[in-house]
Order: sequence, then structure tokens, then C-alpha cells
Amino acid sequence: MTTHVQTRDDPSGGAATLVSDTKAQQKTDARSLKELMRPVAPWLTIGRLLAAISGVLAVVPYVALVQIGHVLLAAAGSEGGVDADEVNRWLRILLLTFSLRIGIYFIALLVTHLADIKLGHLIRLRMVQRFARVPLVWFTSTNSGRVRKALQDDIGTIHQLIAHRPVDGTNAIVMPAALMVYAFIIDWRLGLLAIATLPLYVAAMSVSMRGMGEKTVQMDTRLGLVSARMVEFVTGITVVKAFGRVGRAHRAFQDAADEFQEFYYAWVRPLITVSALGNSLLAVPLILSVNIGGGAWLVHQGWVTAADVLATSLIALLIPYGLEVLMGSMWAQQMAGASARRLTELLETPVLAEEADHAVPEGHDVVFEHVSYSYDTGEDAELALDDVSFTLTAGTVTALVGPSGSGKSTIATLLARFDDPRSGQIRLGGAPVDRIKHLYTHVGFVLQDPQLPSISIRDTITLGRPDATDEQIREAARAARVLDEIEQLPEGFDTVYGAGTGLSGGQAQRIAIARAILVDAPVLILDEATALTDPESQHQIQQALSDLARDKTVLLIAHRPEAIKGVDQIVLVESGRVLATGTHSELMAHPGYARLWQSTTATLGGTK
Amino acid sequence: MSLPLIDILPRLRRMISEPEALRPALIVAALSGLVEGLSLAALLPAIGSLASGEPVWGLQIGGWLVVLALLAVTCFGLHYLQEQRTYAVALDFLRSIHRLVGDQVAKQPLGWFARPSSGRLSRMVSAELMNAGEIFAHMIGPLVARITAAIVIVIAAWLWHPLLGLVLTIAAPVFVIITVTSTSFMRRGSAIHEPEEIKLAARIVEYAQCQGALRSCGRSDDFPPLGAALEDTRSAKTRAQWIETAGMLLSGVVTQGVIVALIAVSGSLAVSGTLEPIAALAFIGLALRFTSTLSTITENAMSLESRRPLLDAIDEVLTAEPLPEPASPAHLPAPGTIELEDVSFAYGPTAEPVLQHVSLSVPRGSMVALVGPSGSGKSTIARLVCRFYDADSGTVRVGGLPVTEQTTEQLMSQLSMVFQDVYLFDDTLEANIAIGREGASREEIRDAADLAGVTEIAERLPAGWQSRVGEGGRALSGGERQRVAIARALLKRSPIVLLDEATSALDVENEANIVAAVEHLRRQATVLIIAHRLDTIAAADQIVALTEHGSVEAQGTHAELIAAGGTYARFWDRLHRAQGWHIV
Repeated sequence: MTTHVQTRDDPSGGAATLVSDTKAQQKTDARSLKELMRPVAPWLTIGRLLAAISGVLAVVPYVALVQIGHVLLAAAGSEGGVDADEVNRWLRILLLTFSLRIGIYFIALLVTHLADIKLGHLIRLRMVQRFARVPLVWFTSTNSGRVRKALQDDIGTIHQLIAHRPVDGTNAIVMPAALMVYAFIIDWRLGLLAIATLPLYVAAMSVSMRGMGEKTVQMDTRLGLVSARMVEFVTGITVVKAFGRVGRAHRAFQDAADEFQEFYYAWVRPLITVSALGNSLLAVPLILSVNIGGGAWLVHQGWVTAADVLATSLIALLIPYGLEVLMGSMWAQQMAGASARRLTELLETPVLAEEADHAVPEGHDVVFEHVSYSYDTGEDAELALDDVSFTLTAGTVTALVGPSGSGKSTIATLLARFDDPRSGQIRLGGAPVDRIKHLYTHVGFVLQDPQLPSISIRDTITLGRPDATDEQIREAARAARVLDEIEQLPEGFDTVYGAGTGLSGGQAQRIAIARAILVDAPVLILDEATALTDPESQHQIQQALSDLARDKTVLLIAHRPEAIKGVDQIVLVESGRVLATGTHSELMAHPGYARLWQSTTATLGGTK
Repeated sequence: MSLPLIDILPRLRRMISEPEALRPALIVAALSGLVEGLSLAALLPAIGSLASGEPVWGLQIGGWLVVLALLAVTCFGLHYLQEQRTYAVALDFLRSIHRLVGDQVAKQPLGWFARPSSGRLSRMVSAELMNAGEIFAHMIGPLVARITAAIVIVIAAWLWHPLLGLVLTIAAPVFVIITVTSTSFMRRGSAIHEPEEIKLAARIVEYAQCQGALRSCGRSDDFPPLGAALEDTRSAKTRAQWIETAGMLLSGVVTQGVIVALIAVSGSLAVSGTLEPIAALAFIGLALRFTSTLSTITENAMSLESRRPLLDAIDEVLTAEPLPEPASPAHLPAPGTIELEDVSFAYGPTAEPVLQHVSLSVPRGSMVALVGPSGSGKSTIARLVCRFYDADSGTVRVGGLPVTEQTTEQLMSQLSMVFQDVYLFDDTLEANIAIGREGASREEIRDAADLAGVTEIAERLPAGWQSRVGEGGRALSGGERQRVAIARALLKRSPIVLLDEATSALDVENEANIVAAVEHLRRQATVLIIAHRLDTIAAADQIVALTEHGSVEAQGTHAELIAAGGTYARFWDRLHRAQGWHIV
């Protein structure tokens, strides 16, 4: 529970900086994409090559049209009828190349799909391996949102890019290109006619696409604001309605929406005319009349045949399609770049250093030596812990007390190496914790979030000791005061934890305690709040915690002074510093500690 | 394939401010398609006359060129008009949809928001909006145009030669059927691997979220369910790959396949002498174009289809029915009271009932504590009082009048809510309190803040009262947010306060502040409190004890309920023992 206020910039102010970064950003994105795709790059090249061959083969029907056309025209000019052999020969060639094209196309798709499966597997594997070594403090809800988005959206985008685009994209570009070349082969003048309207179209489109990258980023920023206002509008709706402020929150949303509208209008409105004109240049009748008109003159001159004109006219109709696909793929490439960047960032999350030259703890004394810590790694990052020093004697209970946000949890979790201190050291039995191999066998923890994966209760309890016998499992569950409730479930220990199993938060807590009992680490970090989550099973959780703590070296994150009256040592923490250390009676003289006690004795009606 | 268009159009109409502009836009698109079709049809006689040098249908090649040129000019104009019109509709959509969705959201009852709707709605008005906008800008116009063109081509083919008309008429459905089949292949493939991928994603997220537990058990390198999920996904994808690739292959070859078939047919017809050679030639050309028209139609229809969920989602919001409420506020016979009479409620038609025949009454000026195990429906009672939902049966009265007979404003003006999920606006600390009552003086705001313990927060923060609290109040802890909510309630001075104590349990200082504030609130208002602390329960005038099945076991004073024994006495005992716990 961090309470420090971050001075947040006005979200709309961020737009300006975003824009200037666009170019660099796009470059990074492209690089990430290339890097990410490296393991399957040769496969993709093969896929593209095959797709290109199949795209070239798509010209054959038009060749057949011209060749058969010549036969037919010859027949029309004479009395001899159609040369059946020649027509049939071309029909056979047509059929043959058609089958060949299908075969190649199929192999191309197969290759890219296999590459996609391989890469998807690789990315997920790398992600998982990374997570195993990332500091635990990294796993906040924001970051798990990022992980979810990466897995659901970004890998999907990459899938499109790897499995589909190399084949479809290459095909859509090579085919019209090959057709165009063929048009020029038929007759260069007809080839020119076929692309006659294109220059104007390209000019119109390049006008309308100018600065699109930057504008798109700006649009995204503004849409992001609209989206944030909607979230605020909806999440705050109770408050909004309770205080009769529907108009106000609604207005904030509408303002953001209007701002987006204005921007979008200003951007798009002038382009509509250009773009509509450009697109109209591709209108079928226009292309036809240019091609047939020019072609008729060439036929009249005796340079080409009517079949040639027909073929190139039809080719002219197809060429713009390739351009449209090309533009679409530029856009897709940009999107994929952003996805690749997000994935790469996740895959490059900084990790904890490997335990170097292993040290073996002797005894279970824990020493915090001048430990300082900040959540950010920057030089001038705000310190969450400032020069914290104290000692836990083996077999005793130490409680951390202090106001919320004082750093109690941070201190406790550093002992379990949720992260390494920025300076100072934590020793267990004389050995620095970052050099202890299998630290988990030495330091265990039961915190507020019980973290039960959706596996069977048996597997959850034995997570730390897979070889535990049934008797040991039952014993742990009994000690955690949850045995009866597990056995009452229809599937008992085989019940898979998750939505719909009907296990309460309190029961989940006790299962987590059973898990810790089996691991049986000599040093334990406990959060007292676990006992307060669920009023009705508080008592049982407390008993289980007390059992678990027996004969262990315990560091307790305490919230109610009452719970810690009898502990061996109390460490009073405020603003990341240790104010005092001592027993309850020793600390009663400390004003900070006394204040904590005072607040709990305040009661309703002043009576107790 | 025109089916989706028919049922999508009425929805589109609802999403724009000028629905009457949609029809002319589509008519222009159809006209431009008509001209396009005519020009392709003119290809037949034009090529015929060009090849033979003789007039066809009474016109020489020169004449046909004039016809083509006229069609070209007309189509250029129409096409330009069509683009302008459809863009205008698309812009209208983008402009209107924000307002329409916003208005609709503002009108919804609170229960409507209980579903995880904020993510869905925010995506709807941002990222997905542009995708939906494309329907208007780039999809419906061309779709209408191409369909018209295809129809014109088929008709022209019949006129040119009945046999060819027949060939095209048959080709169209074959084409559509193969395309649909290939799509269903791809869907079957996805059906095999998508569930596995979703499971795997869930496992990886779980792996990240449970990383602490896994490491505490030495399992971060080797978590078998995750390894299994990775393998399952890989093998499912490999299996699905053949089906999916086959589907894509089918869709890839269909265009070319139909072309080959049409060329083969007309070639053979020419060889057999059934068809004039030149007619056959022209027809091959037309067939080539016809298939690409067909494939554009299916592509368009499919992308339209793939965006259907977007439209469905928007439509669901636009057509959501608000809870019925009267037009004007009514007279309140018993201000400051709450009464539930035989109320039953479940969070869905098939869900377990949360409340069963609950009756309770909160007299004016009293403090009543709701007590019971988790799942006994304490929070649900508070939600029904605020009319987040309507009860399935029975009556909820606030101020003596059933909540269903009050306007939202009237009901809300009587209530202050201090719940667990306190929401703060991304504004200053002071503004977040001031929201409690419009026109409250600075002094009143500071007094309320003092009482609720917000002044301490302000003193700690760098910018004091003017500190921004972040979106949703992120910059403050849960307990601090609750204090701000209490300050709002104090400022609002509503006759009734609903309070959930739960989060205060975590934080000692907070507890003290809340205790003090509740003490103040009960002097100025009726208080219904979801209580967890012994002191609060003991201090209440009345206690309503709920069973775990959501029914009222008893209502009375603490002494009466203890004397009666039962659930409340047991609960009290447990709570008592829990609060006295110390670890050693």
C-alpha cells in the first residue's frame, strides 16, 4: 500500500512529447520487430519466395486469354473454324499451372504457419523464463495487465504478421506487378495505357497520407484521453449519481470526445476531397474507356490485336488492388511494430542477479544492515526505506508496526528477496540473502494475497514438497484449520481452486498456510492482515498462524498493536525509517508508539 | 451474402444523427455500381466490334467508345459523390456515437454498471470506434456498388448469350458457397487452438500473479501446469494448422479456380462451335472481371461480418432500457427511514438467492448495524437501498416511499454512501470533498475534512489541499480514500448514511478517524452500517443479524440478541476472541 503522491502530468500535455518521439519510436518498433522475428526469419523468407512464385503464376490465365484469343480471332477471320488442338493445349497449360500454383501456395502457408507456431512457443517460453527471475515487486496489477495484453493482443498481432502476411501480402503485391510486366510484354504501349491513371491516383494518395504516422499517434493520444474519461465516468458513476453530478462527469467525457472530433475533423476533412478524387480515378469505366479507347487506335494501326487489348484492359483493372494492399500493409507493419516493442520490453524486464558464489547460512539469525531501497531505479528516486538496521534473533518473533505506507511490508519482503536493496545488506545466518541458494527453503511467507493457482488443492499444498505423503498433507491441512472444510467439498483434495469452487477468502488463506507448513522454512514472514480479511474465519486463521509461527524466527507485519503485545521485539517504522526497537513496555514511552495505541482505544460513544 | 447488410443497416441508422443521409449515400453507391456494371457489360459488344470491325447491337467500335466514355464520366462523378457521402456519414457516426453512448450511460441505473463495463465501454469509444467507423467509410458503399455491378453483369451476360448468362448465374453461388466453406474451415481450426491459447494465457498470467507463492515453494522454474499448457497449445496449434491452412487454401484458390473453369467452359464452347469465337473471347474477359468482383464482395461482406461484434456491443448500449422511474419527485411520508419488506433478491435468474424474505426497518435518527458472515447479503441490502438493482420481490422503502416510485435525483439526495470501492476523481483533494454539496463554503469543506481526518492527509501531501489524487484516487491508500468519502458524506448532510466498515479494519489511524466521523454522522443522520468491529456493533441502537443464507435471523439490541443465543451470539463470541488475538 504505497501512499506517496506522484505528481502526474496533465494527460493532454503528453501529446506534444509523444509526437516528437514518433519517428524514433517507429524506428525502435521496427528494430524490435526484426529482432523478435529473427528466429524464424529464414522460414519467412522461404514463405515469401514461394508466395512470390505463386503470384507470378497467376499471370497464366491472362496469357491463356491472349493465346486463346489469338486462336479465336484467327478462326473468326477465316472459314476454317477454331483450332481445337491449340485451344486445348492452352487449357491444359492453364490447368497445370493452376495446380502448381495451389501446391506452392499451400506449402508457403504451411511454412509460415509452422514458423508462427515455433515463434509463439518461443516468445511464451522466454517470457516465462524471464518471470522466474524478475524481482517480485515487479508483479503489480499494472504489470499483470501488461502481461495479459501482451499475451492476448500482441501475440495475436504478431501471428497475423507471421502466419498470414508473408503469403497474402506478397501474393497481393507480386500478382499485380507480374501482370503489369506481362502487359508491357504484350505491347509496351498497351502497358503504358494500363497504368495511365495510376500516377494521378498515387499523387492524390500521397497527399492524403502525408504526415499520417504523426497524426495517427496524435489521434491515439486523444482517443486514449476519451477512453480514460469514459473509465472515470463509469467507475465513478456511483459517486456521480449520489451527488447529482451526472452532468459534470458526462461533460468531462464529452469535452475529451469533442477535442478528438475537432482534431479528427481538421485532419480528415480537407483530405476527403483529394482522397475521393483519387479513388474515383480507379473507377472501372474510366480505366476501361482509357484502355479500350487507346487500344482501339493501336488495333486500328495494326500493332496489337483485340485480344491483347482485352487482356491489358483487365490487367489495368487489377493493378490498383496491389497498391491498396501495399498501403494496408504499411499500416499493419506499424501496428505490429508497436506490439513487438511491448513484447520486447516484457522480455527484457530487468531480473535479479543470480546467486553468485553460494553461501550457506549457519543458524537463523537475521540481520538488516543499513538497508535502503527505492521502487524506482533512478539516481534521485524517492527512498521507500532509508538506512534500516535491526536484528531478528533465531526463534523469536519480531513485529513491524507503523502507519500505513510507512514501509513495513517493504522491509519484510526484502528479506524474502522480493527485490535487492539499493544499498546495505540483509544476512541470514551470516550469509547475504542474495548468495543463498534455494532461499525459499530458509525463508517462507504468508502474505495478504494467498496466491492460489487454479490447480487441485492437493497440488497447491504440496507445491513446495511434491513428495509429501497423503498423511502429511492431511496433517498440514489440519494444522491450518482447514481439513474439515476441504473434506466436505464434493471432490475433497482434488477440488481445483478457482471461480465457482465456493472457497471463501478465509479458506484460501488457510490453504496457503497449509502450504507454508509443508515447506517448513525456519524463517517466516507473516502479515497480520491475513487474519482480518474475513471476520468469520479470523479466529481460525489466527490459530493456524500461531501454530505455524511456533519455534520459528518470525517477522510479522502488524496492523493492530493489540496483536503484538507479547512479541519479543517490536520495530517501529515511519516514513521508511526505523524510529525505535524494543519490547512493548520499553516502547510505551515512545510518543510514536503511544499514538498508535491511542488511536485504537478510541471507541464509539466513548465507552468500552 | 447481402443478408448481413440487411440486418446491419437498421443498427447503423441508430448510430448516426442524420439517419436520413444513409439512404441517399447508398443509392448513389448503387448507381455508381450500376454504371460500373454497364461499362463492363459494354465490354462485350465493344470488344466484339473491335475484333470483327463490324457493328454489334447497331454500334461500331467508335460508338461503343463514346458509350464507354460517357459511362466513365458519369461513374467518375457518381463515385466521387459516393465517397463524399459515405465519408460524411462516417464522420457523422464518429461525432454522434460519443454523444449517444455518453447520454445513454448517464441514464443507466447503477446496477447496469455492476458488470465489468468500464473496460468494455472505454474500448468502445476509443480503439474500436475507428474500426466501426470503417464500416461507414469503406465498407457499406463499395459493398452495395459491387453487388449492383455483379447483378448488372449477370443480366448482360443473359442478353449476350443465354448460355453464358447461365454459366455466370451458376458461378456466383458456387463461388459464395466455397468461400463460406473455407471460412468455416478456418473457424474450425481456430476452435481447436483458441481455447488452448486462452487457457495458456490464463496460466501465464496466473504464473506471474502467483510468482511469490511459487518462489516460496521453489517452483518458479518448474510449474507443471504451465509446462503442460505450453505443450497443449503447441500440439493443438499443430493439429489446427492443417485444417486452417486447407481453409485458407480453399479461399485462395477459389478466385483462380472459377476463372480457370470459366475459361475452360467458354474455350470448349468455342471449339465445339456452340459459341462464336469473338463472343467467346469477350466473354472470357468478362468472366475474369466477374470473379474479381465476386471476391471483392465476399471480402467486404466478411470484414463487415468480423466487425459485427463491435456493432452488437454498441447497439446493446444504445438500446439498453433504463429502470423505469417516475417523471417528478413524489412526497416522502417518512423522511430519514429505511424499510425492507419481505425482500428477496438474486444476482441473475439462475443464481442462488442472496436475500430471502428480508424484512427490517431503520427508524429515523437511529444507527442500525448489519451483522453476519460473509455472503449473508449485507452489501446487497445496501445496494438495493441505493437502487443499484430492483428487488425480485418485496418492497424497499426509503423515506417511506418505495424506491421504484422515486426519481434517481430524489433517492440520491436522501443518501450518502461510504462503501469499500470509494471512487475519487482525478482532481484536487479539496475538489473531491467539495463534490459533496454544491455551493458549500470553504469553511464547511474544511470542517468536514477535519472531522473525517482528511486534514492530516492534506498536511502530508506536497501540494496540500490542491494535491491531485490521481485517477480513481490512486495516490491515496484505501483507508485515506474512505476518509475522503466520509468527508463528502459529512458535507452532504443527507438524512441517511450507508456505511461499510470493512476497509477501515486494516489501518489503525484510519479506524480512529472513522469512529469519530461515525459518531458525528449518527447525530445528524440515520445510519445503516455494515459492521465488522465489536465496538461499532455494541454502539448501534439496533442490530440486524443475518444468516449465511441471506435471511434475517433477528433484529434487536445487542443485549436482546445475545440473550436469544443463535448465530449472533456465536458470531459475537468469535469476533471477540479474534480481536483479542496476539501471535504469541
